[in-house]
Amino acid sequence: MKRHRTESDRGSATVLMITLCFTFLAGSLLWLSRTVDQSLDDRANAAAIALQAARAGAQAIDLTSLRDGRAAVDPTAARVAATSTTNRLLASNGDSGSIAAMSIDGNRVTVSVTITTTGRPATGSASASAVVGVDGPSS
Amino acid sequence: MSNHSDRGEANALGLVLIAPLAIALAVVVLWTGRRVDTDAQVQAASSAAAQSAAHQRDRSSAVVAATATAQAMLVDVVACSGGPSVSIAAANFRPGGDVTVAVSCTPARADLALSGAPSQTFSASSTASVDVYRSAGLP
Repeated sequence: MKRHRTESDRGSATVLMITLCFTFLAGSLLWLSRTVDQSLDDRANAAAIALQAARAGAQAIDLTSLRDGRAAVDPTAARVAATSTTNRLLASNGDSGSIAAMSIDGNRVTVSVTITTTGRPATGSASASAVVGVDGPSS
Repeated sequence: MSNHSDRGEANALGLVLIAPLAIALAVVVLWTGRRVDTDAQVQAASSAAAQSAAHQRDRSSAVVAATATAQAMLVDVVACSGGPSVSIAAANFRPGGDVTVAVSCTPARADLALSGAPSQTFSASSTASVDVYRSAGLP
């Protein structure tokens, strides 16, 4: 009688443990997938915004240079354009973030954008350069 | 004798419990994996569609290009059954302006119908800037 009761208790403890294990496993899977989903989303958004910002920066061309038949990026205007594009696109996505790094090397503008909406920062970077003509060299 | 019988019962109970839970876990894995995949695909498609729209010369060809790009990228029936629905905000489509493309998809759920996965719509929107310096012919 007594032994029977003990065995029965052990059985129910196992059942409880199995249920708990699977519940935690399923819960952590859901959490993980949500986190991965959000991170992928943020990373893709950061790369897209960085590309747009770099393009906006590369189009801030010093007008006097155009008269010589070449296109030189105006670094000050490029920074302003890239920053305002980044802020506008971040706001339109409802994300919070900022420009992590920006470098202007000749006509090449490289922008890194970090999105910090979820507390796990996601960074994407892209570069664009100004060239003259639709078939100009894509250096 | 009674000891043996009890242990067998507990194991059977465990198996009866483990089997459905394991299947449920596998379904959860499938479901979440597909969610992440579809989300990423829709995001990438909206970003590419916005890019291709921004490179067009006028509003109507921007709409055509964005729709064509989104449809070409979302041919996966599992991710997007019936093709994507694309909406384009091209009110600001002018040199130096921008164009926003929103893509939404309803994945096929036939193969997961037994699991009771809810029908879900995934959507993403991206903004791309239109070049400042372009050939003539823009509005």
